[in-house]
Amino acid sequence: MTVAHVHPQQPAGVSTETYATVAVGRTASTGAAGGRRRRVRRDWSGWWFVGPFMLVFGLVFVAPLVYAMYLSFFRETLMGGNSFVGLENYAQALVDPKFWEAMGRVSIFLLVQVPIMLGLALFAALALDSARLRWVPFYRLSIFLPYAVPGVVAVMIWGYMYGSQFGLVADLNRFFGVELPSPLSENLILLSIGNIVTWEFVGYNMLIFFSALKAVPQELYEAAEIDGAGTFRTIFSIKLPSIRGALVIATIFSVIGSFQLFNEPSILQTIAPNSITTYFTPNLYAFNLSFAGSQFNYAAAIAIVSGVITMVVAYLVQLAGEKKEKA
Amino acid sequence: MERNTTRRWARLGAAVGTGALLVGVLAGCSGAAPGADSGSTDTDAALEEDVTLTWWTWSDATQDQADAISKVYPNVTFDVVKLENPDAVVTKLQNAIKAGKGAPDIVPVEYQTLPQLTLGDALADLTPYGLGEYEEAFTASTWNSVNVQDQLVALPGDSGPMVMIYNKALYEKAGITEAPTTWDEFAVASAAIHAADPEAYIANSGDAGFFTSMIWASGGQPFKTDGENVTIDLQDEGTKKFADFWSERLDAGELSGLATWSDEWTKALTQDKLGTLLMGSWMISGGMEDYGPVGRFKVAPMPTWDGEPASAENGGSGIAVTSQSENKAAAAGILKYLAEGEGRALLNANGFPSTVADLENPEWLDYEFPGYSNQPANQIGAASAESVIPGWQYLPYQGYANNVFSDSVGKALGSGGDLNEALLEWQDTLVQFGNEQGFSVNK
Repeated sequence: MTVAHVHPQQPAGVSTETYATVAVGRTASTGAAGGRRRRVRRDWSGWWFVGPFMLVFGLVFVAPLVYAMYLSFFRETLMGGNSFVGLENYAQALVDPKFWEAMGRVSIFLLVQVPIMLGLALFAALALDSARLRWVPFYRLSIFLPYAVPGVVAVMIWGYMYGSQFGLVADLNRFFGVELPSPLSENLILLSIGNIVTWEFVGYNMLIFFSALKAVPQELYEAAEIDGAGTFRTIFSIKLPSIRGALVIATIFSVIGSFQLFNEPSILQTIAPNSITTYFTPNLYAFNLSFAGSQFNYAAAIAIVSGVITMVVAYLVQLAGEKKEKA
Repeated sequence: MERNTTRRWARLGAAVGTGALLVGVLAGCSGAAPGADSGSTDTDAALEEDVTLTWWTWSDATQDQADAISKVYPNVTFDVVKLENPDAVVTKLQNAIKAGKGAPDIVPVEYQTLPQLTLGDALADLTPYGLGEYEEAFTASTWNSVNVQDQLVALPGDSGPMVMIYNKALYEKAGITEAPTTWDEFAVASAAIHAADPEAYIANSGDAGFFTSMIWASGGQPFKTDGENVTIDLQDEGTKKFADFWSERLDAGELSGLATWSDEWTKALTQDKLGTLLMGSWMISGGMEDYGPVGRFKVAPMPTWDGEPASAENGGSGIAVTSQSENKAAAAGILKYLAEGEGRALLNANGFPSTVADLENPEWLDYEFPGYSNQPANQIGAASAESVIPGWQYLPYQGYANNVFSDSVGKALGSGGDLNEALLEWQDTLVQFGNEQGFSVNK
């Protein structure tokens, strides 16, 4: 709607399209004349270019955020109606043991799963880049393939394999005559989810690293070879420093992904309802609060608090990455 | 050349901008307030006029039912929207009510969620449309379920008086030749089955819906609602009786941890690893033939504590008209058609009836199910309907209660904790939630 009012001096009766064209034409000639009048008449035609973007951006990015914030200041109850409660929802969230248990769980997940996943992805990327492998496109595609499997399907496949009475685990038990602990039990479920997420995203991260490695200039390798550097020396002195940016980006994506963990526990809940609580991860907690408990307002506060924590952690990772780059 | 390019982009920008505006305007139009319901309660007159009724459902059979009704009322067109399960319907309905628009005209509602939706003003009171006159046609327990807070909020659809469907062969392999009639006998059978085959279990540990029905059948009445006042006592005599019994089975490792309806659960049934389903009678004709060859399964009455038949409702649903419907009279008219005669027969084709006449119909009672090797299994369901313990109430926020069940009781069922302690934990959560939501719980 703002688009229509961008140009305050638009004459009546002139179609928007022609006027925009004329306006742009005039800008061009003014520029050629030396731009003396630029200060006097502010030109708004730039808005015609960013306008559509801003509109969509406002609609799909800003508006939901603002609405969530707005919601979080109220409390609507089943019996009492709606009332403004200020920051009460936030105060409650900050001392909510369920919320912090969920935060703690994704933090552990972050600290354990992300290094393993990125380590594997890096190893795969370096291996593919080493020029010692045959069939590189085949390996690249194979490792990447799980990422192309829809998340829901992936979790269902793994859910089936994890089954300790009729799944793959059961078959292993029978074949080897052992009693493996059930991956879907309360104690192991987080590990099992970590395994699924690693399987899903190693390929994606590998591709980021691999493409960054491909951009390293060949001259550097030649120089290193002349200096007598071996494979590992090349990796640590040339390859890794060159793809530091990609490493930082991948880490930030993974940090955000960890805090937003939702799909995997949500789907596994249908086959292991007793192992995954309604507050297993912050996102799952917010989801259940709003859709099962009708606590939309508190859910909004939880979502915003966990969003802020995610941003802070992601920013710290970025700072750490930049600092090392300078050093 | 350069200027041409600039001009082209400007034109494009303007066009896109105008397009975006147009979208905004259109969106604004659709947001306009919908025409309100006429307020007429004359259902016959309403069905004379052309009307389109939206009907949300989770059942595959609804489309066929709607087509059949359209033949009787040619002016009525149905827009049937199938959602994945009852929970999805409740969630979507609650969202539509909250948004102020988007709710259907007709919606099926599980008996256990009726109080919750009534409280949220999601359902229309059907009394003004004359549906109250059908009271005598329905069983006391289902009629009781659709009367919430002095309103008639739904027409009973199917019902679910509990029965025991058991794997005869599996029981016999363990040396149990007769279906257990008491819970003591059930315990003996449970131990025997697990001893005969360590991978076989008499039952799975169950979910919230199962657990509340079992409490009901054991005489417990943990939830009481009177207006804003709610009482929750998950340690009353009946509740404790069942929790103690189920804890013993759990401690002995005799219960399977598989989630009901999961793939593994299905496999367990088909591979003779799961002996018993304690479920609503809708399961009698609910496709047991998918889980095994003819004659594997038999239907038996629920075991009892003291030899006196005692049962509960498990599942089942009514059909309601939403408060947002613009065609309440027409929708209520359709419900009237479904209340008796041909319309009722349509509903009964898929589910266990809730109408007295059908439950007493000799033809239906004596029907010999080939799948249960010609057992007239409906008789057992009908007897169960008569022994449903009266007085049960669900919480006005049962949906939430069932959702958080897994956090406390479910956890104990999964990892073998103390069920009574877990029930108290569940109770604490429910008391806190209720008080936060403006009820007066346990005060």
